Amino acid sequence: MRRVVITGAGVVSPIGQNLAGYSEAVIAGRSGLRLLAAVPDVGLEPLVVGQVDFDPARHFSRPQAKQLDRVAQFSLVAAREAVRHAGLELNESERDRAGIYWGTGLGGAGTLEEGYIQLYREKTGRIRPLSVVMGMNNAAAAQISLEMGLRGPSQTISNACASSAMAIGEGLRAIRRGDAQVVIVGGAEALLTPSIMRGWQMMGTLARTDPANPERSCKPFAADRSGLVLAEGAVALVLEDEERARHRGAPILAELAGYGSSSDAVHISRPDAAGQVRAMRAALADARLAPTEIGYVNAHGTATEVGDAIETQALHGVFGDSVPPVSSTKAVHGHLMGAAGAVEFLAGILALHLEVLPPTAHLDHPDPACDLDYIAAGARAARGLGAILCNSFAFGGSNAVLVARRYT
Amino acid sequence: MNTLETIKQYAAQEFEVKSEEIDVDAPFEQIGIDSLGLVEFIFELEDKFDIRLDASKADGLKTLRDLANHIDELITQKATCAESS
Repeated sequence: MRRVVITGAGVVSPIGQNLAGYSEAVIAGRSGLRLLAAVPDVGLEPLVVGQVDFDPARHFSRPQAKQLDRVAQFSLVAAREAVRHAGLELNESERDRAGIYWGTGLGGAGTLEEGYIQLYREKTGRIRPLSVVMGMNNAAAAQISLEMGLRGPSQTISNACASSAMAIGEGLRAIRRGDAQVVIVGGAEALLTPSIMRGWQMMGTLARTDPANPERSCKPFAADRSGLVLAEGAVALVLEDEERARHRGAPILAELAGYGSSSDAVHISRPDAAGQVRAMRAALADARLAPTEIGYVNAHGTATEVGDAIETQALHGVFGDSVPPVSSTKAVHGHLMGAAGAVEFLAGILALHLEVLPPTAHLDHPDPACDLDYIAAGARAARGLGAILCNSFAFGGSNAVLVARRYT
Repeated sequence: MNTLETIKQYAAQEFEVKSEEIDVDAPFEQIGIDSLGLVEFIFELEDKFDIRLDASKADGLKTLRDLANHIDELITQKATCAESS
């Protein structure tokens, strides 16, 4: 079977708008979350979010920016960095075997919302003609394909919080099958619109604001956790057939060794340990690794009461009493929804590459129901770390798990 | 500034081309405005001039001059309607 390696990464996130910035912040456990003021005329209450201070003018001409939803802008910026990082240059025939597998939950949410505002609030019927091609879920993948001249397979996966993890996994399979030699994978989300944020508020799963330190409001696995924090951003990775990468002397960050997915078939929003166990076991089997070979788990760890406890149970189910160190980096970057799997897998890749485990920030009060080593005291050196596992569990009961291995 | 000059300046700004390089009698494609770009451009001009283009005539508009002439017609019609009402 072909081996697949990761040769480049790019990121736009609340804790850094490039790889160096993200890497430094995620290891330092420095939060990028902040309190957003209420918007009384639409009933939006104050909430903590992971918002990106993004300046499109730094990356796009004005006409180009106008034709791209925020989600596509994030996507392009992340993809450009990943390609630059990988030193990827494709000739004409290689472009036919270069593809894109991209995840997003809500695609061009901002564009759609603007359309609804014109239709229902302003009652003008003046919806931008470009809203169709800006709002569609595959717009981001299409824009990357267009800009980079990728003419191989293109797929957009929308599976809520598992979207980008699945996109990475499907990209892995595409290279293994021989459908493509190079794929850009990852995902993006830009859903901090009033209607989406209000929907989540009404659902009652968002974190209460920590009054003293709003940026510390997301507390995965802690006894005082109160829910998730919505966030936005994008992460792109360059996956390559190992032989191709080696042949061109590409920098290899890690091997993408395995991918597993499963469905709970239990409940639309409540997670299920058995389903999570199936996905983790499938990913380990795909990677041909034993649980004992995993040295770090980047948890889904949304900081909901039920979610963290069930994931802890599931980890026991897979690893028994020898669960490796686990952290949830959502504490600092929030929940990037469709981009969550990619941004968190990136934390795992960096752990392998830099031999340091990112911490779970804001975990001052352990919860007895969450009894693992969550790396609560700060980043930890991990010399010789051999393999990592990254969990993404979505509403709808879709689970996706990725495994990466040190490349040797 | 007349309508033609106004939309020429606007096109220069929207499509990031130099105003002096825009040939107002050249087909849109030739000055870098594709069909989708044109639809969006017209949408913005409608707001700018507070008019609504006649969809049945849109296909006949091939150049910036055609567009300016049609906008002028609509502005005149609008003024006439306002006077008679």
